[in-house]
Amino acid sequence: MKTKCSKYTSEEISRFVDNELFEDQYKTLAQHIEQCPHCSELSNQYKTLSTVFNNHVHEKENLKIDKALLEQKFDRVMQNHEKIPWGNIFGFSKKYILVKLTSIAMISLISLFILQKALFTPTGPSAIVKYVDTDYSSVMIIETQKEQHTIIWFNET
Amino acid sequence: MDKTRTAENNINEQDLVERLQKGQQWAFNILVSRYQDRLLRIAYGITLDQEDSIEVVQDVFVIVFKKIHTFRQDASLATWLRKITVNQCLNWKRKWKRRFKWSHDSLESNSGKNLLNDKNLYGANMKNHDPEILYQEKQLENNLKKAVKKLPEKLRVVFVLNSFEGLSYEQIAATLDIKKGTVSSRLYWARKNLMESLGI
Ligand SMILES: [Zn+2]
Repeated sequence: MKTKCSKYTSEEISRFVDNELFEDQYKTLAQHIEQCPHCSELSNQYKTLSTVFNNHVHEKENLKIDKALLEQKFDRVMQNHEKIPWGNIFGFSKKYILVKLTSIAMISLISLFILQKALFTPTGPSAIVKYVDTDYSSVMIIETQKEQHTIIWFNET
Repeated sequence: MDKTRTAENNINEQDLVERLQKGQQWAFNILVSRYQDRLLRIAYGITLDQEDSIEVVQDVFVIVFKKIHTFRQDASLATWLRKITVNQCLNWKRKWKRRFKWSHDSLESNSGKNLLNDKNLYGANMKNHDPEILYQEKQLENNLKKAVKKLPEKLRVVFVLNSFEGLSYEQIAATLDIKKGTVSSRLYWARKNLMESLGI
């Protein structure tokens, strides 16, 4: 709609759609919307955005948790609970963090150096050779297209 | 009558939390079936990737399993679960992996302007079976998905919580630890942004 409404801002319409105005404000705006094509159209469009997006997600039939896999994860947590002393479950020891940080720093430095070249060349990265994902870290081995550099990408989880 | 089903439907939140805190696996199964759909939708709305959202929510339940004893019932269980889900989505470790994918997503020029204004769409005829209209609906849906993908994360999260969960600004504010006014303006910017992406 090209002509703007001088009475209400788009944010007010947005709040109206969400029923987030005070009762009297809501009533006045509801009356206004019946007369004003601009505000009426805008409020319909706002509503439609949410409806369409909602429909899109509700159509995702395969959006389901793998319960067997989840139970395995629960079991693993239970086993770890028995192994690790309680104080250590939610915090890491200082030494561990230090090792972690150093390794991240080292690897980031090396990868950044290589990646800078790889990422900004027009060909870009190519094949992911191998991808390993564990509870503690992820490693990805990539080979760049042009110069055929092998990049080892390491990520702490 | 299925006994587990009945128990599942009857157990109230406080009772459920107590059982969870005692580590009863049975209670976790109830938790998963009760909340997975909602959390999966939120996660999907934020990551826009089916596989990622399933993994995120799986992790959410593992975190809950580990941390349930720290849950003090000053917020509702649903709010707590939503909070963890949003955080997990935002910290999702595969983000770095995605950087290696080249994005070919582009919005077509006729993205949604006419579609969103078409009175036949999502108006009175929600269950229209006219193939032409169904096709247009699909197209609008696809373009909207691309537009949501382009939204800054902060705006997207608010839009998702509003659209899927129908939460009040107050509830969204509590989930994200932000002010109600911020929710209002982020929602407005999200909508404005989406409409611009759709060419409206
Ligand atoms: Zn108006």
